This record gives sequence, structure tokens and C-alpha cells, in this order.
Amino acid sequence: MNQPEKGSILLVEDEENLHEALKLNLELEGYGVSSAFDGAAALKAIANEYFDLLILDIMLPEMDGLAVTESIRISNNEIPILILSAKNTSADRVSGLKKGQMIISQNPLIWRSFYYAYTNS
Amino acid sequence: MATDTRKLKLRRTTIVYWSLLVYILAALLWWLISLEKQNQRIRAEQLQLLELQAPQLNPIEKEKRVAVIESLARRNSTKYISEGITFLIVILIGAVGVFRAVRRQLRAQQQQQQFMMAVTHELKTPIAVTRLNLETMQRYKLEPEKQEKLIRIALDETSRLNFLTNNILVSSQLENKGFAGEKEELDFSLLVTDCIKDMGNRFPGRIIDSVIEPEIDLLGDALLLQILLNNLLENAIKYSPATSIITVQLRKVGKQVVLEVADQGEGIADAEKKKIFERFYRIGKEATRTTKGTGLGLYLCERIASHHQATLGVSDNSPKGSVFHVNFAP
Repeated sequence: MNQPEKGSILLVEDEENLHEALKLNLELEGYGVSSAFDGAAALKAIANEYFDLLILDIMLPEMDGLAVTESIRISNNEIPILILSAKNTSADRVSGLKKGQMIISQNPLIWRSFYYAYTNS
Repeated sequence: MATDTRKLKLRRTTIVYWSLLVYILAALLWWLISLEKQNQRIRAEQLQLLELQAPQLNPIEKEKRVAVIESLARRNSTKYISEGITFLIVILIGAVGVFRAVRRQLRAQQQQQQFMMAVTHELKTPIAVTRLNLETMQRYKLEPEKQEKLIRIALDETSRLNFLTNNILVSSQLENKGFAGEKEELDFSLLVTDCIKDMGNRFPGRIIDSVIEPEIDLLGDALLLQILLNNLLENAIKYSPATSIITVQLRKVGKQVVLEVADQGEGIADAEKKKIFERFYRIGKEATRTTKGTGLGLYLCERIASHHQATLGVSDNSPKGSVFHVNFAP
């Protein structure tokens, strides 16, 4: 893998095809991307390694994205978290905000604004 | 939050319902008591009047009149009580009917909402992947292998989308009682073999073992039968470990054609075995469930089976997992 220029990201998404597409895009944008396919693997990776950002799918097998966020925040880890939600319901957004994260849509167009917001922050 | 609002609404409706019912029953009781009191008062006044007229009457006549007054009062009491009981029964039957109808309605509404959420997720994911892949190719000049891969993934996702929309469309078609479909004599063995081959291409990592008796002909709708088998195979793949084997058997038992799809997943609890064929039903609670799906697949399989005069059932696989079997009547 190339040396990440912009930062390292942990991508947690269990849909293989979506995972690959997101990973490729982030890598092409110059981020270092590590992969996890479920909540437990994500928590393990975060405990062992430093990441600049966590991108988390809300619907994961066994432990969902909100539960993962809660565990991370309980252990006092302040890593920025972006939640992916295809459902994009207000309920998801509110519980996401309560747990200290941002929710974005799976709509690829919104990814552009994410790149913009993240690279300019 | 939507659930909270729904719960609040449900609680309010329940409170209003019970208050109304209690009010109606109390009113009924109150009417019964006041009518009975009135009845007793009339009886007492009539007896009093009789006492006043008594000097002009002979004792036999007086006794006769007392008996008439008493019997009228008794008849009125019986009338009020029996009418009260009839009203009580009618009110209770109505209340139970309303209660059950409202619950059924709420449950249907809830399932519909869950279905919409599930469908949204299921439909949006392949669209998001395809779009993301196309945009990636538009934005970057990629190496041919990478480009090839993105195209393959996009094609995969469009066939998934196709499968899902087929499910939704066919299930709404089958809802229509007049739906006749187009049945023709077809080589079912070939159809099953082709479906397994397609599924093998879609999930290259999975092992699907098959024992297909050749040249089994069936009168059926090829598209519907494909949907039936694809749903059973998809479920077997979805609900069993990636390294486990899925077994498909097609054979003739006497004049019956029997199709079986067996997996080595967690299996299905006996209590759930009937419910899984209900429309929108999904095992477990929506909030804690982590597998994806619409709750349409098995409902659709059941509808397609009955459209072909076949029965669809599920039993336990040994040592673990489930076997779905479709028995086509001769």
C-alpha cells in the first residue's frame, strides 16, 4: 500500500462490493485504508492502531454501527466517526448524533462533499 | 424515534379505548340499577294506592291486585336484567372485535413500515455501488484490471437489483387473485441445473452440491419457478456459514416431484417455522436484526408453490440447519 498522504481511515462495511468500491475511492484520493467487515473486528483494529477517521456502516452483522460507536466513546476514544446509512432516517440521524458522530448518506454524490469537508478541515 | 411516536400513539389509543369501554359498562350498570329502582318505586306506589282503595275492595280482589302488581314488578326486573345481559354481550363482542381489528391493523402497518425500510436498504445498496463504480471510472483513469473489476461488480449489483425488483413485482402480481400466469410443459431438471449454475457464478466461494434426477418435466411458469429456487438458494447462502455446503436435490417420489434445498445454518425454531412464510415476516426483532432482507422471499416462494399446486415446507437438517422442500402434486 502507498504511504497515506492525507491520513489513515478504518473502513467498516460488510457489503463486500460496496466496501471495495469505497476503499478504492478513498485510496485513489490518497488515504490509507484499513478494512474491517464487522463491529468486533473494528473495535479490535481501533484498540491496536491509530486512525484519523472511522467510516462505519450502520447495519453490520452481530453488532451494529451505533453499538460500535458507543463502545468506542465509552473507552474515551475521540476518533471522528462517519456513519454510512442507506436508510438515512431521522431516527438513525438523531441516535447517531446523540452518540457523538455524523451521519452521511450512501449517495456517492455526498462523498464529494465529504472529501471536501474532510480535506479542508 | 419513529418507534417512540408509534408507541405513544398506541398507548394513547389503548387508554382511550379502555376508558370508553369502562364508561359504557358503567353506564349500562347505572341504567340497570336506576331502572330497577324505578321499578321498585312504581311497585311500592301501586301497592300504596291499593291500600288507599282497600276499604272499597273485598280481600280476594285485593289479593288478586297485589299479585298482579308483584308479578308486573318481577317481569320488569327480569326484562331489565335480560336486556342488560344482552347489551353487555353485544358490547363485549363489539369491543373484542374492535380490539382485534385495531391490533391487526397496527401490526400490518408496522410490518409495512419495516418492509419499506428493508426494501429501501436493499434497493439503495446496489444502486449506490453501481453509481459509485461508474463515477469512479468517470473520475479516474484506472488500470484495465481495476476497471474490469469495477464493471464486474456493477454488473453483479444490477443483477441483484433485477432479482429484488422481480421479487417485488411478482409478489404484487401474485397478490392479485385473478393472476393466471403462463404455464407450459418444461424440463424442470434443466431449469434447476441452470439456476444452480447461475448462483454458483454469483457466489463463486460457495459450494452447492446437487443431485438432480434428469428429465423431470413439469407444467409450470419458468420465470416463477426460477424465482422460487433462487430465493431458496439465496436464503441458504445468506443464513449459513461461508464454508458450509448447500445441497439441492430434485427427484421423483412416486408421481410427485420433490425439490429440496438444505443448508447447514443455525436452523429455524419450531415456533418460527410457520411464520416465516408470512408476508414481510422476518425472524427476530427489527432493531436487533443484522441480516439484510425484505421479508418477501419465502412468502413469494409459498405463493409460487401454491400457484403450481405444490406445497412448501421446512424441516430440520441433520446435524444442523434447515431443509426447504417443495412437493409438486402429480
